[in-house]
Amino acid sequence: MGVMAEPLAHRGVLRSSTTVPQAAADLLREFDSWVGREQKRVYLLCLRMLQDAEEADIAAQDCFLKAHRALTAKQSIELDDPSKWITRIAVNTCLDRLRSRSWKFWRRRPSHDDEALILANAPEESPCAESQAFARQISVRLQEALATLSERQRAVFLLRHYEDRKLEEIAEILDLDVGTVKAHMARAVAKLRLLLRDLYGELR
Amino acid sequence: MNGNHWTGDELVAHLYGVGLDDGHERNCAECRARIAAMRARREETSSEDGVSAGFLRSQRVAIAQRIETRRAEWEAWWRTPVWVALMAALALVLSAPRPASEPTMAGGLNRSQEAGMYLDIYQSISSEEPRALAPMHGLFEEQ
Repeated sequence: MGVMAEPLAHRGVLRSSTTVPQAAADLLREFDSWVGREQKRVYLLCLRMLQDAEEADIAAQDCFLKAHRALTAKQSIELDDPSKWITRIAVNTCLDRLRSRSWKFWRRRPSHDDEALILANAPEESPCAESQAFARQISVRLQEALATLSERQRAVFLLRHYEDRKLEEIAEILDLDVGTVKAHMARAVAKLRLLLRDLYGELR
Repeated sequence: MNGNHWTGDELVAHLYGVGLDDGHERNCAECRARIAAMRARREETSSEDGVSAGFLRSQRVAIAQRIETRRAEWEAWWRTPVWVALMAALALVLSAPRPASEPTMAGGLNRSQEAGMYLDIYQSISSEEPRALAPMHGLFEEQ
């Protein structure tokens, strides 16, 4: 049994949700291909949450490791929506990392060899195109602006902005009530007002 | 509301799901079209992620390696306590105290002492004289 990636509702949206419940044993059997389908979305979510490529890479790996461990331990259970499940794992992993980050007095600088390896593995710059300039500029500004949000506000905003999830879904993923999610979203939108005005300005 | 339409901030609020549900979106085709255009712009700018296939491939390899390492560690961990438990059980069996040659009673008496005790009890019950008089008889006995 395989998880069929839902056709993307809109171009560019990376969400690949399944609404059909799936047995953990089946998901474990096709774990590699499931990782392949969800990996990019999970990595980008981690990257946007953590704002550090190296840490996001490790966090994304941790997410799938946790998922594998859970699937191995409880093969008889059935997952309502594996996509939502891995998203929840990713958000919680990132929130844990952000919390533990605040206790670090210093951040380890990688050794010269590690640094070279990281650079070799770093996401490649896509070919420069006129039409992508605006998108890149906004993306950079958005990354900077996201740093001004609290952890929860960031998670709520990212799940809506990049994955177009409903507030009810976000509430389920973050284990919050919808009212709290709305409050976080309203604050996030208020903080990012100037940036969003630039992003959508000419369309209004 | 700006005239008959939502303002820019109201449009953004609705796009992010926090606008007031006043039914305007259902009734106003223009605001609906603006929201749709904003959503398309959002998706267009979000698709610029710059994540290469090579990076994703190496990440998948790393995930597979970590799963394999964990599995090996788990197996090693699982085997070790079994051996430790077996060795501990064997040590307990070997170091257990051996039984004495003559089993003792709970009060610390062996079988011959026990028989003497029963004899004493029998004699004291069958004798007509109280046992306390026996030492006094001894005073008058001829040597």
